[in-house]
Amino acid sequence: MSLSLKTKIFSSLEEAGSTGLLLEALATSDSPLLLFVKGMGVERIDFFTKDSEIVDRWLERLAGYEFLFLEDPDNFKASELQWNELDPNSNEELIVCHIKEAHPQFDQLRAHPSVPPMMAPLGIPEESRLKFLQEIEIQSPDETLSRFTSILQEFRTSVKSIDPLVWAVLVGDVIAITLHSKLLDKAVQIADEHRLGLAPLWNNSDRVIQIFSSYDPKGSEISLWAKIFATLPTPQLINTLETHLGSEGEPQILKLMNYRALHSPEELVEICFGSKPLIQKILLQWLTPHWKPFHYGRLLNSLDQALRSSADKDLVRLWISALVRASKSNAFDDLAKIFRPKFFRIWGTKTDIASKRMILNAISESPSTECREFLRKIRKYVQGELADHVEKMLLAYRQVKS
Amino acid sequence: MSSQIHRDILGIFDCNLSAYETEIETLKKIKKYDEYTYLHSLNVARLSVNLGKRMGLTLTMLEDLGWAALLHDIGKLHVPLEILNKAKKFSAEELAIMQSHPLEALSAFARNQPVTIERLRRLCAAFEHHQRYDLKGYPGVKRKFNLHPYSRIVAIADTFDAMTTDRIYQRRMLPDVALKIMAQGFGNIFDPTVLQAFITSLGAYPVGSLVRLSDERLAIVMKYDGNSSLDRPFISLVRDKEAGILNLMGETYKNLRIMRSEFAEDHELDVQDLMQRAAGEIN
Repeated sequence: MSLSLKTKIFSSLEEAGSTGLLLEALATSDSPLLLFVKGMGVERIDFFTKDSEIVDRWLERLAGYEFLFLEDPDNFKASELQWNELDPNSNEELIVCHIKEAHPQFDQLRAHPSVPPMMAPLGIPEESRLKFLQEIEIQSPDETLSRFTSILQEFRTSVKSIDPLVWAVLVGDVIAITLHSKLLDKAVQIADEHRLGLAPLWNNSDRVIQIFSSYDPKGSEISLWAKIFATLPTPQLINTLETHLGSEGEPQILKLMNYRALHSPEELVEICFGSKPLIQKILLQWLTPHWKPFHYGRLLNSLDQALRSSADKDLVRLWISALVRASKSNAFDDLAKIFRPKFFRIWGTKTDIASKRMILNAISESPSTECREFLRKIRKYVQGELADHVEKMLLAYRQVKS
Repeated sequence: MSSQIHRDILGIFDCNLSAYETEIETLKKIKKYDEYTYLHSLNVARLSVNLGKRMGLTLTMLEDLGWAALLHDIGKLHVPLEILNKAKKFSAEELAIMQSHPLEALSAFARNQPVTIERLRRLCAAFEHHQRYDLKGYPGVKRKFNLHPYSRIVAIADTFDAMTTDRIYQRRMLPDVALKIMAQGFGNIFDPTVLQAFITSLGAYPVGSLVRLSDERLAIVMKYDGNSSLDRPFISLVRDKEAGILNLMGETYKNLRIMRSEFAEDHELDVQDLMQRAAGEIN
């Protein structure tokens, strides 16, 4: 192209007997490169050289500009480019482009002409048109998701500066959509591929809830589904639960909690001891089968704390269940001590009647031989209303036996 | 502002606007942030949808394509205005920010709720409109997938509108020149099928072009019909209204050719006015 264009330029100059090539007279059928140069506002080009190499170099540079323009016309700043060709030694101008002043009547809001209608015959083969339509038709949700997961991977490797939270949210959204489309395997795969990138997402509880509410796993799917949340720390899961009780995602959060309680109960035990009563009540329900004798001391302290700081019957009941589960014999012995008149040692302060009633109620919910023994042991220490309560409970045992 | 935006959208394609509140909010933000980008988005959507119609897309596809085009530049919301409208050359840092706008579309998307598979599909063009058909361009990635068909349409409409729109620092290109230059991108920058469809359906001299004929007279391109060839549309002579509208495909005009197009304002002509008058005289 370059050779024929060069020849054409020189023959035009020769014909005109001039050094200057006027671009105004160019026809649309002329070289696209010269049309581009004209389009950039060049009115006339003066050639003060006939050196083929120099002209070639100049044409090559301009072809590069044309391509840059074509790739991104928005960011192309013609006035900043080198349109002239200079002698590298003397700096003398060998080819000079004369550029018109910028369009003087510029008005940004009128800058957009209405687009021309497309009424000319469509010059593409029918089979190409149909093939293109088919390409659109096959863009199924699966295809779109594959495209996006590919985009995600590619962007992640090529762009380092994206805000980690924005990135995590984006990955999270794609996972949510994937789950919404019931593509569990794919969602797990995305979460696994972006394991580290997902981490900041877990602080954004709205987005976390969105993922939870996108899919309700069946029993057999839970272990696979739980992998999506592999990097979600349990304390954050609990926080999300706390702030989104009653939300669309709550049942799924509970499923994940249950799963974690089954598979890593010790982590939940630790969290349970350090949590607020509201969370303790939730966690204690899952942890019942996991209490061991070595938890006993801490459970006793937690019960003490619950009795002293909370009038929450449910919480007391749950701590007592945990205590009994951890060590039945020790639990009833220690609980019996509370009812002794001069007992202060373990509990620090004398336990009030309301607390004692809560203990009795909690114990009465799970009748057992040990429980009856406990009632018999404490009947001599209780008085008044509390004594009536103990007698009623013992009577109930007798009736059941008869 | 909302009703104006609603009118603008419905002027391009039909859709139930109440289903697109988030998208309309985003367009509102674009309009408020930079009127140029908003008007550009409208033009890109018009061109994309018009081409989609010509290529036989269904109404649902046109709706998706229309939104894909309207939102293709949402990432520019995150490019500072002083960079967006800078007349001088960008520094390396500014260029990087400017070229990050497809990526910033990711952020804009991530901030939108709720996310759906449809929204994801409509946003492909926002990520991909600066990636070339041969999968180069920016953001530079190693693709496993071809560009989404909507992205391929939007990329062409985007380039054509950017080339044929006046900027503070650059006079617009005439449409026929823009098309000629775009044709250099067949198969490498642009999808050849889509580009060919785009160029042929606009015609070598799009309707409204002021053209110089081989006999030196000026004319306005009035229309093409099913029998027109690419460079032989129906024209109306500027200085000879009596001649009516001439079909260059006709035997009478077989020796008359269009040489080039020219800027109407350089001749102090109002193309719209001339076209209306010419059409009126025919009627």
